[in-house]
Amino acid sequence: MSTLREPDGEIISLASNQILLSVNGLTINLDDQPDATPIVNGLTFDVREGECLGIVGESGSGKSLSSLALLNLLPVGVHIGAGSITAIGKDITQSDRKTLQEMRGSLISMIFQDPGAALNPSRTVGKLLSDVLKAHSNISKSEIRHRSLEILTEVGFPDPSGRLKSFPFQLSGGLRQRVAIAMALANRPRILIADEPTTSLDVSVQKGILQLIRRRTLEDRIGCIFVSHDLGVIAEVADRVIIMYAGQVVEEGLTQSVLTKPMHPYTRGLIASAPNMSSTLANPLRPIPGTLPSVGRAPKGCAFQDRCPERSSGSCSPNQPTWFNDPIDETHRWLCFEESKLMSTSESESSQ
Amino acid sequence: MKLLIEAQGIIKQFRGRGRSLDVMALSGIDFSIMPGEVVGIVGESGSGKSTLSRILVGIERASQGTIHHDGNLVTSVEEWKKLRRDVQYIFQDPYLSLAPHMTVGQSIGDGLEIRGEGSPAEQRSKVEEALTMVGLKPADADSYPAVFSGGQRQRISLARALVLNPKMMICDEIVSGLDVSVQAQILNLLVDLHQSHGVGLVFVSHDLRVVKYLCERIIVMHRGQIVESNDTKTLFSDPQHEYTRHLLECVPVGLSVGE
Amino acid sequence: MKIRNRSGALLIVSGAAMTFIVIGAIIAPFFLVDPTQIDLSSALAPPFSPGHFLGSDALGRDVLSRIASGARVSLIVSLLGMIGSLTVGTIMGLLSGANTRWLAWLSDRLIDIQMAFPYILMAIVIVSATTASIPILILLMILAGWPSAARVIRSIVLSERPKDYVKAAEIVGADQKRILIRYIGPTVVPAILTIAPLQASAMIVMEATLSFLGLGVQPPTPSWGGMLLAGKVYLSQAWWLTTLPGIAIAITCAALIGVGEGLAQRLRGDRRRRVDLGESQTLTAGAKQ
Repeated sequence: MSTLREPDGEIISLASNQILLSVNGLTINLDDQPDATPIVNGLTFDVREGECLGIVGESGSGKSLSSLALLNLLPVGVHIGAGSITAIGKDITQSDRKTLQEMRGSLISMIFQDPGAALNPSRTVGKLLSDVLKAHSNISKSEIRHRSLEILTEVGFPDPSGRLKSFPFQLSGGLRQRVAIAMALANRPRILIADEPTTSLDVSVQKGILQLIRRRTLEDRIGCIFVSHDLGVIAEVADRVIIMYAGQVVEEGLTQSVLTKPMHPYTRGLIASAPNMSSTLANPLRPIPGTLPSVGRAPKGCAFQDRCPERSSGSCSPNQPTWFNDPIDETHRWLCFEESKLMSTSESESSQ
Repeated sequence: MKLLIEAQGIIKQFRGRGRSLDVMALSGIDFSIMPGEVVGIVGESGSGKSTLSRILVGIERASQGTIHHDGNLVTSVEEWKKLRRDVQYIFQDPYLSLAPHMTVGQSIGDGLEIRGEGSPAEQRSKVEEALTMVGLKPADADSYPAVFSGGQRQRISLARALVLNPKMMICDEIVSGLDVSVQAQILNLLVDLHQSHGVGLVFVSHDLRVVKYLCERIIVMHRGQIVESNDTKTLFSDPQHEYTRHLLECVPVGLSVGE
Repeated sequence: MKIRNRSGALLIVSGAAMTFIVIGAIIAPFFLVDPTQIDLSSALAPPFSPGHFLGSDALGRDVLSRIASGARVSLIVSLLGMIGSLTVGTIMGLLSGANTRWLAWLSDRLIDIQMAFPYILMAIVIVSATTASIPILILLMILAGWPSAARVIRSIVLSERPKDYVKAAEIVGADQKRILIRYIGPTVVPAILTIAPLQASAMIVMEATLSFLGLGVQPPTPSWGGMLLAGKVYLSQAWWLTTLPGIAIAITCAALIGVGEGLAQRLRGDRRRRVDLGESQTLTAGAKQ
């Protein structure tokens, strides 16, 4: 079965496309707790135009906080400790408030998990869109209307002209999310951040939203960052994926590579514990032993060491783990200590 | 074997306020459960699956229809009490289902205290046994819910149900808000409880993947009606109803290791 | 961080003030002149006069010791009144949230009726029917105070009732009485703790008002309201006869309100420590996952 990503079964290489967003060594710390481990620790990735990068993680992985950091919208209690975020040449961590305000909504946009909470309930759909359009350009009323109808049609919103006067509470969850996406895309951003946009939607609605995001990313040549905990959704929508655990990136690469040949024990554990359409009781789920570390209390060095089922005594030390690369796919790499053991494990698995 | 619970002709209507129309949450449901089986109820929002699960245990009353327990019609408070000896319920939100001012041991053991089963010492040991069964420590009985995570709280809720020795537990979206790895732990715990203690399950969920993994039999609900009911294997390999087929198509397939 | 310190400061300062007032009320009379001692030779002496630190009234009685004794009356009446009012209010509030329709309805109507009745009118009626004395005064406090306490308790009960843990209690077999007492009951305790000082504060003013109207504590027992009444005619000549008891009332009320507000902030303040990290499951810094 072909997924949305590969309409004709080929892995599309986007390596030659322009880099729109570059994050380097991003570290986010808790305020007032200098001894705590960073909540996001040295996050590094690029997003190119026309590509969708998936960020996968559970609670405490830092995935949502990272996406907020990209817009410099961190909540009270945390701050960026180190690293840089460069969006089309501009360093977000160094930008002043005015520049940031100009960028948000026009250069970089974001959609959130709960569309009901993201839309102002006292504004109609038409007003919501005109608010966003007026905030970033001086366009006339007729142009606002034209653009609003245009973008609503592009996001598959049914009967746009008739529904401009609807309020969010009159719309279903799926339609609200489409409005939120329309607002995010109205000013033709280059970068779109989607933080669990389909998690609170029904599965039949989810499919349409994922298709929409996918299509707009390709057609408008946007760089999309898609945060999710659901591996199935990521497989549908992301070209590349980074797996985060307790603030660290533990594995990254093409979605195809990471999900079919997971190398990091956490990635393997995640895949083994998520039920998919081929799981049965004969092949039981294998949950990762132990619990996620508390915020700010991850072990130093490899954050996963306390729970790693493939941990070998002696070699998993308090030192920093290093990157290992997949010889077949050069973009696929993972953070560990011992390469040979993992490689032999994967060989024995694929030969079963 | 007698049916454990038999629900017939269940209708649930919510009166509209002011200008809103009445809502038919359930329009004529027939549903029965045998002791010891694992049934899944699957549906999207508005399907009525949660309403049905609440009606089965009596925390919501049907507008019309009957519930039979072990062949007896359930209407009075006494009869509901009897039903609840056999059927327990686990709620979705782990942060709202435990009284914040009661210790874990008090929450779990209150049912025993109400029934007057055994001396306080015996009740305490049953509570500790239940905690061990769900993978927690007996000493946790003296802690308050605030120190536990979502997954642990769901275990506590399971312990509260198990300590009363039910024949069946109705689980309403109990893993929906939990992390994937925690979800897997709870699901495996349920499987274990079923296999080693014979506890039946009614598992309500919107996630077809989880229901496929766990349940022997599945009913699919849509807009207040049961559209399909079959054993798991057949439902997935040969879905009959159009809505079931549509639902199956929309589930993200994912990639398998080694693909 | 700043907000937490401020609420702590409020509670500390108000608490200290109240402690001082209470201790002063208890022990001061032992060290001061008899408040009922008449000494016409030093009548209407202004503050800082020899022997009368806060002055004396028309009969030469020492204002300072009268204020201290008046404090006793005010505090006893308001304390007992508050306890009685909260007891009745909690019971009625819990009943209002009961599952039995008629009981809840009856309780609601009683609250509404009592609240609608103007309390001074009620005071006049009751005092005329009986006598003006401290026990009657306490009764009036209770009658005036219980409805607002009941309403607060009722709204808490109504908001807790639909929660899952209450339904879970029903399923394990708890009856209505057990649910109200064991499950919902303890959740109203924080609210009671914050209402208590506020009610006491209102009752201090109520007592002064009633005594000022002659319906409360009768002379020669000193009371703040009574001092206001007696000093009224001397407003232009001897300002201290009314102003000083008035200040005493104001400071005591402010201290009580401060304690109530400080407690409320403390109880609310616990929630501020949560850092919203934007995860799909909310994290509390330090909590396990």
